[in-house]
Amino acid sequence: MSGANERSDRAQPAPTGADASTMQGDVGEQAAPEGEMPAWAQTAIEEGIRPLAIAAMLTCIAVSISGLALELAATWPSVAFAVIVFLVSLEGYHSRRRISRLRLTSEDRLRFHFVEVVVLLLLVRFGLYISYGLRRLLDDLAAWTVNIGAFFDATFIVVSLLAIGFWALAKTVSQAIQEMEATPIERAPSTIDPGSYLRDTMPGRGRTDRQGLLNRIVGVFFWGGVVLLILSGLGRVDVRQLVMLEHGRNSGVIVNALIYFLLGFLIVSEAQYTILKANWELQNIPLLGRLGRRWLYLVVGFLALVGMVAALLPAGYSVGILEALYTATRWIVWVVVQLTFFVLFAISWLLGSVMQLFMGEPTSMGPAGSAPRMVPPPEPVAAEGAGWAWWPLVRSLIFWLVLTGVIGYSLYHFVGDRWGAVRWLSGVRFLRWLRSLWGGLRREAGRVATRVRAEVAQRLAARRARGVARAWRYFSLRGMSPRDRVRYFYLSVLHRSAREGLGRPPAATPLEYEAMLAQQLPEADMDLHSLSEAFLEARYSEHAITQDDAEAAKGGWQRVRRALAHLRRRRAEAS
Amino acid sequence: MRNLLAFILGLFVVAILFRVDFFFYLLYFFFGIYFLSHIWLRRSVERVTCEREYQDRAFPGEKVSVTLNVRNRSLLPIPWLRVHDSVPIQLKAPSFFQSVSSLFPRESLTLGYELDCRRRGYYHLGPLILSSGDLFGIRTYERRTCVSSPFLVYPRVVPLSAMRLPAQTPFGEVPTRQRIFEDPSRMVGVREYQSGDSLRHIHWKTSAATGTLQTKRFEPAISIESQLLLDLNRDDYSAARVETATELAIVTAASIAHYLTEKRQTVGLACNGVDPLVGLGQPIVLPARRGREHLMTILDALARVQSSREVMAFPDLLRQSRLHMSWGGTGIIIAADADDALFDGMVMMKRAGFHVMLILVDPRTSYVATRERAKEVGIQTHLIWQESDLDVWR
Repeated sequence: MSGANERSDRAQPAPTGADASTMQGDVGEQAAPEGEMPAWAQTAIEEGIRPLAIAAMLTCIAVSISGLALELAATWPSVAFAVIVFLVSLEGYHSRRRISRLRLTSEDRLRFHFVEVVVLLLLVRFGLYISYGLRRLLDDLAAWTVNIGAFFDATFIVVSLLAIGFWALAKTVSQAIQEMEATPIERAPSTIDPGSYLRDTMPGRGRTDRQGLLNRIVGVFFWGGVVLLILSGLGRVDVRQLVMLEHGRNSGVIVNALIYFLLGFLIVSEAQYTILKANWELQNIPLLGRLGRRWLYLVVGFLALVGMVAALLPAGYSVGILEALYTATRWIVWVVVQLTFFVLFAISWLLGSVMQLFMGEPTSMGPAGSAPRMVPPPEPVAAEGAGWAWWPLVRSLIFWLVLTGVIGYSLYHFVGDRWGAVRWLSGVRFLRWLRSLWGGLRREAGRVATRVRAEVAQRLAARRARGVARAWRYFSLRGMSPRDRVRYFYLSVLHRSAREGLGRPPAATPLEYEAMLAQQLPEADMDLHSLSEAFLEARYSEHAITQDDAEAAKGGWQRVRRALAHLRRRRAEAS
Repeated sequence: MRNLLAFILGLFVVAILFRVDFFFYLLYFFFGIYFLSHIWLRRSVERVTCEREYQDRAFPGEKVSVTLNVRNRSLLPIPWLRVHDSVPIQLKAPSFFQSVSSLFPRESLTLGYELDCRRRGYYHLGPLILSSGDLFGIRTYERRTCVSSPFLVYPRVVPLSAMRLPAQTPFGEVPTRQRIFEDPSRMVGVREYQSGDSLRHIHWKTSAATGTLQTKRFEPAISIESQLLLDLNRDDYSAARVETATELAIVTAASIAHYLTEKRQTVGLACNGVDPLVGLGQPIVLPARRGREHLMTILDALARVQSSREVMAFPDLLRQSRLHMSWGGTGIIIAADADDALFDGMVMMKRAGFHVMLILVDPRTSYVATRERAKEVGIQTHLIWQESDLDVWR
């Protein structure tokens, strides 16, 4: 294994005598802690982050209800309501978990819930004074001593009903998440285990319908989202604006809805992880490599990425789809006309030039007339404000294209997933043609991409090869080892002598060649000998070649070079 | 999350109705989650490569480590990846290996498990199934890879050292280490070239005339060639012992082949079992050779072979094998029982100049009577009822 990006998770063999199933079990037990989060992190998520996320998500719905309620009654205690819903949701989540742990009888459970509801009502009653203030509380306390019926005013009743609704929702979500986890009954491993018998005699063989539980959570999330959006729309959009198809912006609504959906997806993702983990646990599949922690990172990263991409896309349009298409088509036609005009002009100019060669200068220019007028480009669409005039059109075009793609893709999969109704669509000739066109385009694009990749790779390889060749041309003697330098000096002499017509015959050994060359260069006889000796030592010996050896060879090399230069000059003078 | 698409379409209607920018933003957000979950999963899982590294041959009792190298070659992370490798139940219980992990871009994961080689056979590891899903339960994706990798468990080899056989048989000459058993000066014919034949023995003229390589056949001077003749026709075995007895026959054959190879003798194999690599109806015939390489070839064949009912009758195999044996060689017959047809075949072999030795692994008639009958025609008989019976030759 090499590199930091590699992991090794080898199943350790079981102790001697253990069978393979034991080994598998051992693997699971050894590896599971690695795959899971630390206990404190798990507790923090289950008892802290998860209930806070659920409570915050439900509070977002409460905020949207408050938005509408404020439109209807200006005295609606919006802040208090949000706080109450948050606290009530937290209480609902934790009380559900508490009850399941205590394993209460039905009678005790009823008593527990009664006390719980009373406490919640008191919380609602006194929580409303977050908005009303302390002075109002004191006044009301005095009033209740006179008339106890004043305790149950209309606002309290409405807020209480809504709070109990959110409390029930929090309990539902909490129960669903808790039931997703693997139960001891499901874990019963052996058929002789009493738990296994109990499981087999239970309805559905004791198996939890985890997908159903997830659907329940998703249902709460989606329907809550629908309610939130509708309430936000009704609360913030004026009916007159709605009829006139006008719209306004409100950052509070946006933030509220955004938080809701982000938290919702986080909870759904967490629930999905719980289901998968329970299934893997029941199948004795070991989890490796900090899966839980990575899951959290990936969810956050994924949601952030999608959110950023969505934010970059235009979320509105100023040019209608027909107008945008019309303008775009005009532009395309204009570009095509211009291109055609240019091509025709080029052809006529060429023909004219050729005709001029054969027929001479035209005697007359023909009927005088003005040059053909260019077709003007289409007018830009009227901009909504300052800025580039074409921006509204481009933005609208992108908007309509994206929207068409979104709806087309969603409809295709929606229908295909449910009824397989796209099968008959495959028989429609036009769609078949479109499909084949798309397939052809994809194939061609693939071919082009492959060709481009191959071309780029080829050019890069060629460039690398050139770089290597260049490196030989511009190499540095100082960068070489002494052994390589000696070899270079000798080869350089061979190269230079070959230019003078004194090349080494292929069968000649260095010593034979030395004798041959010495006849032509008697003044460099000793240097040739020392250079050949140095070369043989550098080429065939295994001991180290020192700097001094290389320097000695360099001296010989320089003198032989001078001798070769003299020889060349002598030959030049002779000729 | 099946309702996600319905929600997206509903959101589209609401967004168009209210024409609020934020609703379109939410539409993109939801669609982005759906779309990217689809694309991301397919793109990343398709670029996961998996290699299975293991030693593809083992002897019984050995434990072989299998290493799975899983690598995510895409630039996208995989939230969870379940690796499920199918393994034959004879090698591992339960018959699979499973593991779950997540893979970041370009990350590698090395998984491993062990095979417990308890039973001879020719097995296939795999297929390896990679399953993955997105973060929200929208889609799951499954891909099969590393479809099939062969794995061979040799038959058990009982080390033999003292096979006491009559002096007339080739085994009697083993201590002399006499190696010359073909006289190159006495050529008796040619036959088709087979892998392992010496190039010096190729008859080039005949090869040129026929267009295929032909090898010279020489008259044996001193023959010490042995041929193992193994019966794996299930009809010849009793129903109660068919599995045990066929395995015992294979172990006996493997042990004798090992013994002869260790003594530097030539040994061949002819068997009417089914070789999964060859197919039904084709007997396994390995000409007599010497050396460890040839022993491994025999053990390979014995590891793969399976008993069957739809195979050549054993007497027919004897007849066919006799044609390929050198004169004076020894036929070591390993069969369930010796019926009249088998006796006829053995007598024919004797008459043709071969030595015959009979080893019974599942006699249904009286073994003593069979032995006496064989003795009358000069055939030595042995009974191997269980593996420990081979101890007499140890």
